[in-house]
Amino acid sequence: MIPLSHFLIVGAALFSIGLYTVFSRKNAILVLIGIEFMLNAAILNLVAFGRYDRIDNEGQVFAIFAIVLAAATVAVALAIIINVYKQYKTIDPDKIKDMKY
Amino acid sequence: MTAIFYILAGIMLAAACYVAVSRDIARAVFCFFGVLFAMAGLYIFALADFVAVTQILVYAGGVVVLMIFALMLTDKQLLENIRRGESSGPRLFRARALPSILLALAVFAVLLQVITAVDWGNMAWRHEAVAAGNRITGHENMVENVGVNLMTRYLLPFEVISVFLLAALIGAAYLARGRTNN
Repeated sequence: MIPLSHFLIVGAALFSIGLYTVFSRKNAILVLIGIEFMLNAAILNLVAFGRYDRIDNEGQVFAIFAIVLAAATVAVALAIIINVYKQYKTIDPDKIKDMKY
Repeated sequence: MTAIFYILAGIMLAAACYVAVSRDIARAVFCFFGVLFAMAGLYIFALADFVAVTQILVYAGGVVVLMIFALMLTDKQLLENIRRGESSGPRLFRARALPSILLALAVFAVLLQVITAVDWGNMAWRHEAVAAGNRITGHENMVENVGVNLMTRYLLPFEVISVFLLAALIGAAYLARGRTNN
């Protein structure tokens, strides 16, 4: 129905928007959202190519694993962000400049 | 029917752009929620219905809630801004963000160049897949397909990822514990 290249173009656009979000936002949670955009674009690519593999279904199974991994990443990253907030009272990535020692 | 794909893609990209430029953090997180829902719609157009439902359950139902909670825990001004009804619209162009915009456009140009330079209709793997009957039409039971594959061919990654999830759960709970007894 939908040509393969259209899926890939949409994924590329979302990846670029995620890259811009990572570089230009001053809140660590929004940087994390940008990373999630990039992951979602990659998963869209996986699913789009997975249409040609019905027997082994590598594309969709890999996509499910990638979704699970991204959720675990977000959980641990948010725990780290909360800890950083307790220490520095801010989560602006530009202001967190001191190492522990 | 195929117009819905382009409408969903447009909604998703517009919401992603709003997340990228908006000054209001709470609205950005809710537009992230919209992006994830539109992505689930795009997965259905790629004939991956199980992945779409997994995306809604895990991403739109878990990750966004986690982010809202973390946002409420780490931003002292957030609830006061909402209560006061501050109108802070999206700031469309900041000169400080020009290198980021150029970098994102450059990456997009490279990816677009690769995608348009390939003749997707005549790839050898595509002809082999069509000849071997390996295409996903809309008529299979994808849940059964994914289930059988997870239990037979991808059993080792399945077990590894369950252990990994346990480790991530313990790690996140340990990291986020209160340190009052230190």
